[in-house]
Amino acid sequence: MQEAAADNVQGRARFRHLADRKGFLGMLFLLPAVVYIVILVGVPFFLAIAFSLSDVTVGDTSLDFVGLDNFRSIIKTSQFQRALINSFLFVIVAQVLIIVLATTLAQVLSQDFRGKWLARFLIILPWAAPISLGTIGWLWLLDSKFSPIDWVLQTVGLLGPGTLLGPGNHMNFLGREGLAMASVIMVQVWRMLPLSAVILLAGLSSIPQDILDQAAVDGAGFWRTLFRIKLPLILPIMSIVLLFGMIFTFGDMVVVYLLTRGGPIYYTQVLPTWAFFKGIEGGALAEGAAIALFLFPVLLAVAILVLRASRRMEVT
Amino acid sequence: MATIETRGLKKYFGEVRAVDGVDLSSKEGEFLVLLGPSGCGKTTLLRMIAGLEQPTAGEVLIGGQVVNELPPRARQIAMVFQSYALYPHMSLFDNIAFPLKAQGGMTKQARKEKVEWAASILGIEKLLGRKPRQISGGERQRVALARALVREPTLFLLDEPLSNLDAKLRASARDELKRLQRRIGITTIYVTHDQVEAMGMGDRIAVMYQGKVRQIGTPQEIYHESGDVFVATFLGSPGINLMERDDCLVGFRPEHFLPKEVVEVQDNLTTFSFRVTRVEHLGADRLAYGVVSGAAGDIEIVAKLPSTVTVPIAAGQSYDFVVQKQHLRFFDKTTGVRTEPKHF
Amino acid sequence: MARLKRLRRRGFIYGAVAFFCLFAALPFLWMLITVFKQDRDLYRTGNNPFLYNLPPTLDHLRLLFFDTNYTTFLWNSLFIGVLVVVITLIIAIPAAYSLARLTGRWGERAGITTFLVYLVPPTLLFIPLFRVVVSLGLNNTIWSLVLVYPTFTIPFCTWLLHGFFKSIPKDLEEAAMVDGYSRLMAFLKVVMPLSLSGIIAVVVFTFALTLHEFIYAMTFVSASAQRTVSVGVPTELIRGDVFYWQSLMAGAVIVAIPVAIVYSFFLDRLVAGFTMGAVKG
Repeated sequence: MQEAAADNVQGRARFRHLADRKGFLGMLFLLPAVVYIVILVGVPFFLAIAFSLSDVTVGDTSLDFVGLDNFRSIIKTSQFQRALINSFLFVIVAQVLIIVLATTLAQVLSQDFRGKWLARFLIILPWAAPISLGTIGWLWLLDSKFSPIDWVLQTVGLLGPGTLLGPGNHMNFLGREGLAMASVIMVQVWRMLPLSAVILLAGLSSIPQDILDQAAVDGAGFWRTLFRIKLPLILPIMSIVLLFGMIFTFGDMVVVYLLTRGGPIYYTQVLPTWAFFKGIEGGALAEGAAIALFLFPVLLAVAILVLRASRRMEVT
Repeated sequence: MATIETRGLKKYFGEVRAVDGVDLSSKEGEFLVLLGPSGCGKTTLLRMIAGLEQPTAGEVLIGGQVVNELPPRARQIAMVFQSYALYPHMSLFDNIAFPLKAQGGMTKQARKEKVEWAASILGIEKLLGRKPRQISGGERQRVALARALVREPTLFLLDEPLSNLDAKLRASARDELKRLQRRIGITTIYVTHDQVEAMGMGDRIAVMYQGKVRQIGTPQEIYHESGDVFVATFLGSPGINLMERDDCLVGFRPEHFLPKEVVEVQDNLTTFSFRVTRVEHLGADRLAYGVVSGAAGDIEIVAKLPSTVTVPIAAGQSYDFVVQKQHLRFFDKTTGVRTEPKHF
Repeated sequence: MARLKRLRRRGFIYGAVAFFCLFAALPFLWMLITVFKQDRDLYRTGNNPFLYNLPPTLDHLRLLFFDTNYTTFLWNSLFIGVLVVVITLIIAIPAAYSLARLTGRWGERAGITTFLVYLVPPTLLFIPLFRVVVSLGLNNTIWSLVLVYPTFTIPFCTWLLHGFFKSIPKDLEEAAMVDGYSRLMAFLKVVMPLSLSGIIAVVVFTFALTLHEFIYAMTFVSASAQRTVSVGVPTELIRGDVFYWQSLMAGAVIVAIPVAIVYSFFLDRLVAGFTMGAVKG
């Protein structure tokens, strides 16, 4: 602290002054992040819009304006309608399942039981593993010929000629229209469950024990306490988990891409995977960008809901 | 109204003996206070009576029935927590109605009447539409009480309900609470660490320390006829003066330590030479801190002089102070238990 | 009576725990078994998939490590991860501190905007970013990923860290400033050391984020030697129509399990950060 006394007092004092100024430091600290984001997110975002309004492809790099042609041609296809419906189906069903399962899991994890550390470890595996690698496991588990699930079903007599799920020997999870969608949803639920459950558990733990004791004394049993006390009090954090999940799932393509490639045919296609196939694998950058842009209005609406929900976080 | 009884009640948390064998028996309609320093086990005892903790050993009886296996909601009790535990997401009306809903068997109209009845007793009818965060501490306490009353329980359990109120509010709240209890006549167990609260409100007080009940009695009994050193020193502010004499401890209260000239009856007195070191003028009383020389050396003593005693006392001076022999209390040096008076 | 009820409740809890553990871990447990299975054992539909009908073998592990670019993938992922973490920390720590302490109204708005950016999905940006990467000549290199990954790690870290910084009492910094430090020095000497555990947790999860990332890695890099684990394993070990299943499984499990172990340690910190960051003071 006595260093200040020494040489060049004036220069030092001035520098000190800068290092002290709240506003200046604030902006300086924030600047790199803002710049990075603006350049690598903001600019590409507008580029995406520009692309969608042009005819750019991997081969033809000139940006010739074509207006809304891309959008018009996309909407007409049946693939678009299917992809749009699938996207919504995928998101809504998956998220509802996640919330219900995650709440149950959080409730279970809030109890004491032996081997809790092991249970925690196993339960977060789907989240800890890179999603592409976890999905590979499911790829085999759901395989049309070698699925171990098929084997188990056969062994207990639910699959095979003359059985409930028969007559074939294989469920062909990823090859049948409805089942493929269900499988894809299931894997998405599987991967997002751990994080959601952990966050909801934190929410549950933040309920003061006094309130739960009071409810017990007041005569509330397990179900009444759950539905009238616990759930209302974690509703804010639950809605955040739900909305975040929706945003994430809506824009995600990994599970569909690795499990079914959008198949069979295009019955599990969702907007992001279609954008990838068209834009990157197919090289039609403009059309790909247009498809991807359909995501945006929905995401924006949900983002606004997230903000509103996070403002309501103060209940107590 | 029910009576509450505990037999050999114990609660151990691993090595820690939170409650170490408590035999308690309350009378019907009585206001029984559990008093003691923090960690003495009073809250654990209360929670076992409520059914929120399972006893390690012993029995809890409510209305003559052993209730160990019954969950809280089956015990017909009401409880008010230190934090009041109002459900933050419900209106005050819904808060008070909650136990009725849980109990079931009432129409919406019947519930409404009950809630309004409870609210009117506590004087909060006008607030019923609000939420807990919109009302003051004192009002929250009343809502908690209304919620407790609404089921017309047979037993009332309160865990330091006044500690979250500011000092001024506490005195009036104490008065209201006691009057309420009198009016409704419900057996009440009240936990506190504040002896003024305990003495002011309790019909009987159970003084607890290290998991055991040291003494149970009326405020008069435990103050004037303390059963052991702990009770004697815990009660009274400033605390009882203690001196060692042979193999026992002799105690006398500061208000019984007076200048010789003030005492009317001049026989049966024990005299001390009191060297005053400091005097505090508290308005209604004067506290004189000083030293008395004894066989074991100098002992610090406090005298409490009411304002009616106008004898001038100054720091640095020595005076003759006396204690009436009937006010001396003798305690065994090793066990701390009260013994017969010895020659002094 | 109550004892029976308690037993029933215990049973239900253990049952639910078993269900969730099985559901979550099944693919990994099963993958672990499969790694050592011989081909003839695996490709027989009649065989019990959970047992070794033929003795286990290390062949597939050998294939993974010596015949494929797996080790290269691991190295690439590590390299990218470390670099991205460093870049992110350099940018996000000051930004988070700024949001937590130094800015008022417009700072709150900047915070919300940062968080909103995080919500823009890669599947929207990857097409224009692909063109940007190509025109910068970074196509097919790991540098494209080093450049682009901070776009999602920075908002994530900033959001988490600002919650941690906020939880440190202002009093400590103010005491340091009264003692003679400038605001900048107070930050370095007081706030940083106290947030260390939070920062470590953020580092762990940021690294994991880069490890997991698939979309950009898939889009920008097609040359095998430049690929990350996340993309390399699913694509490389499928040659034509032939899946080298056991090696695939090995590749997945080798990465998944250590990450899960590390996660278990830092889980509490991360969740604290999520909830702290969300509840704006």
